[in-house]
Amino acid sequence: MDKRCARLELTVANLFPKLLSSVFFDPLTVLVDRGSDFKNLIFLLKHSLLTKMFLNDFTASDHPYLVRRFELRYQLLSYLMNVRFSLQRRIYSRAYSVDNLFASANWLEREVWDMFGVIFIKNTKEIRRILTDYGFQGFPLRKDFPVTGFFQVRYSEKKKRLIYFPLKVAEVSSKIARNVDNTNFE
Amino acid sequence: MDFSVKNFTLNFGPQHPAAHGVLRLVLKLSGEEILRADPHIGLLHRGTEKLMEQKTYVQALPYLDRLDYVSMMAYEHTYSLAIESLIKTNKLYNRMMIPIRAKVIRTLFLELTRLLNHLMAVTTHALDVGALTPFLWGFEERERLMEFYERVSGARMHAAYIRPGGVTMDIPDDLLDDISAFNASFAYRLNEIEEMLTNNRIWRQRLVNVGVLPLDTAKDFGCSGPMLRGSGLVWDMRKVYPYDMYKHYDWMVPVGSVGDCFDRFLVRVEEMRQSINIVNQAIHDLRVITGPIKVRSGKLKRPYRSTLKFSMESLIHHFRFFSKGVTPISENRPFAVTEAPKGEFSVDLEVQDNTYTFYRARLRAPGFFHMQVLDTISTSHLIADIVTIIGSQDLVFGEIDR
Repeated sequence: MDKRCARLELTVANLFPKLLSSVFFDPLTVLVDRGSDFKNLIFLLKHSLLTKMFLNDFTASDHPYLVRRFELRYQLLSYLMNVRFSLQRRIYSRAYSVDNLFASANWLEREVWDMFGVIFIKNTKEIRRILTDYGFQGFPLRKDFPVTGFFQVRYSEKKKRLIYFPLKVAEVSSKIARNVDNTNFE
Repeated sequence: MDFSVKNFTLNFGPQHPAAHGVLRLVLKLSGEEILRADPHIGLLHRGTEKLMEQKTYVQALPYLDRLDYVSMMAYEHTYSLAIESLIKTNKLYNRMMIPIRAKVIRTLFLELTRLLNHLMAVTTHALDVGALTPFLWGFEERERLMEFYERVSGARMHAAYIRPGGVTMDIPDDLLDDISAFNASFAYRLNEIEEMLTNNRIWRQRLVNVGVLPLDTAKDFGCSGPMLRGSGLVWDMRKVYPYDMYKHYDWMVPVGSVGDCFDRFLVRVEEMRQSINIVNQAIHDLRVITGPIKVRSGKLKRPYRSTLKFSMESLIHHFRFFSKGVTPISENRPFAVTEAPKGEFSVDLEVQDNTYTFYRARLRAPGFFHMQVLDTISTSHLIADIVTIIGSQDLVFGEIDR
């Protein structure tokens, strides 16, 4: 595993010397800075570099104190070589979709849109919310979204349907209060 | 006479019994033929990933049980592996080694969990298609398996038994005899289930060449587990990236050839037989291997109660463990991937400096990817086949919606 990873890393390093700012093993991680290079790299990984790779997972994380707020993490897997390759990239709030390259990308991108509000442009089939409720507002996995949310739901006898109304919380639990202090936004 | 034909849109679920929980499937039909199946998921979304960000590494573990509520231990095991990878490069490496007995117990219970899951998958699949009897038999066996869960952890389902650093407690003395007695009888029970189904004409008519998933499509969509193996690829994390004791045991990976619902059914049944095999080997090992069932270091586990009164260090570890949880030591981004009964489950965590909570916890649920492929494989089938296909996908919405 490690040997193969090392070889793959070497190949990537030869192809894109400027791209490799940091590399870890298991899974092999590459941080990519420039958008155009990223597109080439992901294309290469899919088609020609050693073996065909598949998008195994795709996710993001939110760093609100940075200018490039979102970190996207593509995880590619080669069944032939048994190698996992992880591409990380920081973006403002928009990214190119990889929907045309990987069939599995659509729902993953929908999830990242739903949870983080990252907008995917070009090549997208359809981007709509996937896990949250119909008509949900806000992006739950952003750091500025409180764990309690903004609205609560109940069944209204008068309107004969579920209604949303602003959240009323008697007290914020100590755990949540503590955690807010922990995320020190410098 | 003039007929005007128009497409029909039908809501399948979320209360349909064959929707396996809460799946709302919007079907676009032309007569009985399916043109498009659009799954609306998220009705069981509980925000596990967000909730895990609020907890210490120790407290986050029970959420993993509640992801896939028919194969609980498999998920907490993956999480435990991820947390252990966080600690691995420490200087105190020897004290951080997972003892071999703990690994064998893990393997044993992971395979029991696989039985638990596949029994549910196969028998509810049969129920959806119309055979009630295997379901009744299967659930009797599941009850016995959950009894084993209860005897080691105290809980029938949400065990929180496999934890970072080993397992919670050692297995009771008489448990091994009971598990091997169960194993012997279960092989017969499996034969009975197969007798009912495998060569049954109706079962075959409903399953063979229904929902064919070609291998390329399966790979493209990120399918894993029996979905991928049913299509013919030998890809099992227990073989290709072995963890725990799987490397040392003798077992095989069953694969299908066509990739239809029937192949997936056969793969699951054969996997159960292989699981029985692994369980037998693990029992054999457990009778010989003695020793601790947790790491020695107090950084990963609660210290033994008996040492609290005498050892200052234990007291400190005890306090830190319950107030702060595990202290991240390694610089690695903790990552673990295992073969859960449903497919590849991976935990990808982002840790944060100077705090004891995750910055981001990503859980890759195999069912999410299987759900996505439903549209592709159900196109141009009849509406009755969608039930068969959903059944063969082994969907549990706890993990898909997270």
